[in-house]
Amino acid sequence: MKLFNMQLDRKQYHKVAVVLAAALILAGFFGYNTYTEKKQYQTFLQNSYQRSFRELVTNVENIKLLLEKAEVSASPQQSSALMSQTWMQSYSAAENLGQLPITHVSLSKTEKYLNQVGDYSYSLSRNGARNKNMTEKDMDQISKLRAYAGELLGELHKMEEDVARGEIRFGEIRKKGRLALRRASKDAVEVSFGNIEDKFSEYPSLIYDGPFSDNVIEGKPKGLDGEDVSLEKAKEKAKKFVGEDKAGRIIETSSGKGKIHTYGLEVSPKDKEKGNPINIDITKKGGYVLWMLNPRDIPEKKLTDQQASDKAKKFLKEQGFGDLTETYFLKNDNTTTITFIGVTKDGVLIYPDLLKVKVALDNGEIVGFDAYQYLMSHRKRDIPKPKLTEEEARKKVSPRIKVERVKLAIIPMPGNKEQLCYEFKGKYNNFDYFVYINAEDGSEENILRIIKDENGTLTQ
Amino acid sequence: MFKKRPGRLIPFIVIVIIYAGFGFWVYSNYITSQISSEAGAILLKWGSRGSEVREVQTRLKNWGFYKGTVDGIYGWRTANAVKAFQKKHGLKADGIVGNATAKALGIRTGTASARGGTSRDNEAYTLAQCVHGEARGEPYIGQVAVAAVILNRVDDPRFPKTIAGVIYQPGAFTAVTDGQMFQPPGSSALKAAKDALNGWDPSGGALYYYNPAKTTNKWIWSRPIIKVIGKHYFCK
Repeated sequence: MKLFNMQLDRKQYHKVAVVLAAALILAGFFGYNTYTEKKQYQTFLQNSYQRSFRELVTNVENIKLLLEKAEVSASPQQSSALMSQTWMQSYSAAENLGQLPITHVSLSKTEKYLNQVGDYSYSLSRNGARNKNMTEKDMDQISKLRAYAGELLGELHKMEEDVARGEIRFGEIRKKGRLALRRASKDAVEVSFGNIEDKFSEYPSLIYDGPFSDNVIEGKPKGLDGEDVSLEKAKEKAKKFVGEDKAGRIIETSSGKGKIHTYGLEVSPKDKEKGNPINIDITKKGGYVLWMLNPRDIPEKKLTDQQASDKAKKFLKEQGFGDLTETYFLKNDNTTTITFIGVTKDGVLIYPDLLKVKVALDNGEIVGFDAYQYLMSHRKRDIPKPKLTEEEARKKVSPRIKVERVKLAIIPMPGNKEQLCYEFKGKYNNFDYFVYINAEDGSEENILRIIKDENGTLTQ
Repeated sequence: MFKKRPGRLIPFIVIVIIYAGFGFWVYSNYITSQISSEAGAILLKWGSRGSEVREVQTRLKNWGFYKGTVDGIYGWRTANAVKAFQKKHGLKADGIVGNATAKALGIRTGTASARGGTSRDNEAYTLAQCVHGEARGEPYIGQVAVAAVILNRVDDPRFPKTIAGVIYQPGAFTAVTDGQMFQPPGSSALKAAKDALNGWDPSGGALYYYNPAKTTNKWIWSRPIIKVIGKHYFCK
């Protein structure tokens, strides 16, 4: 190598040195900048974690205090006010907890506790607003919840001290970087929360009228009857559902062991060149279709809303679904998803019996079907006679709403319950509303606002 | 001086070249990382699978570039068809479906559908981003299932109560933690997110999922498995 044997003279040494020095200074500058920037981000993160944590402590303090007050309150109005404050505090506590950099495993029970306190106090505040006093059972559950709030607060105060003394820092997980992502790291904060979780191990299951009540979470399907079916039988059902002419090979891909046990099947199209495999889940018990999805590409829109709705109705009839009525629809990607609900011979709407059918707008093929809610709730119902007349119920509706139509309907209520109501459809301020008046005691159970645009109808 | 002994300058030039080379290396690394994250919306190549590949194959077949079966597997036939298509349309014939090729093929890239305006559209978009980051390359049903898990969490007391709360919960999703989520979602992820929002739940009510080949978390292994879709185990 001739190149490296070459001698540099003084002047050139000089030049090289200058270039190297400049590069070094630049690199140093760059490094320092990056370092300070990183420090700033760290402090920022640290501060926002601190804020969430401190707010969490305050929220839990308030929850404990409010529950203590609720235990000695005797009037429904006062308990209602206390309970709605508890609801707000626990909601915000759960929010703050969710922002801490701690793996879900070490705080799922705390989160559940906070959400249930919120949900439960909301249902109690509704009771209070109806002038109902708290029952003995409610009082009992409140003192249990208060005791847990005390335990939680004790641990949080201990942590707060450690944080103040600088022994615990949030975001140590972040520092460890990627490793922590793969392995649940055990840093000080995690350990402290682990302690809290242990205290919650004997946390009782709460039963009340709310969506997070334990009996709702563990609800069983009511619409499944019949014997368990074999895989062969399930495949037959799937073939019939998709259409004998379209279905090719059917294979079992994955069996489901969720709330409803299923055979997960994949139906290949007969003509391999055309179309995608279709996924379909058949329930083990009774062999009902739980859901079906055909993710094929739908390039264009040819059908009108009316045609799509006719196709869906015809399909449901062919599949042996009896009395159903169309409620709302939603369009996207050249499909329309139509929601059907049950209806009795006398025209009473049954909202819990809900089915969804997705129609492709190019040729009217059914590309999706979902019967989860239908199978969870459908059964033979004895529909009681309404105690209120339509006229009496109408008086309970806000005078601002111009009523256009009245129907009887069974609506789902918190806590897996159902209630017979008068459904008033009306207009106010150019918006459509549904108002539900309890047909037994006349209380206003729910108000829905309807959003309509060219892509469908939604209720809020 | 230059005329006399030009050879003396050579070491100096060599050092400059080394520095320039280093600078260029850093720069090109930066550029490729930019490109791959840009093209992240649709980047299909040899070995890719799934409904997006199927979409490409269907289109190429309709236009006569592709002769094989529409099977959703990106093999050499597909790569050749893509190359032929790219040549004809004046694109770089590399056999990879990036953003430009996808556009020429008429496959919708995620950014185009971010429009809309209602909060439901935005929710679907965020959900689709997370699905895309977590489960692109999974079968379509697997993508719907991942979206459904996020929605199941919203309804469970052990988790935050909004879609954004669940997605951004620290450490909950790898794709969120490492930033992969912040790309425009592909059309299949968007469709999956909408199906899940409309109520479809192929996961059977699952709250967690994991890829057994990648997870070492012991806790997650102890959860009862509800369903297996593609590479993901879904559990309670």
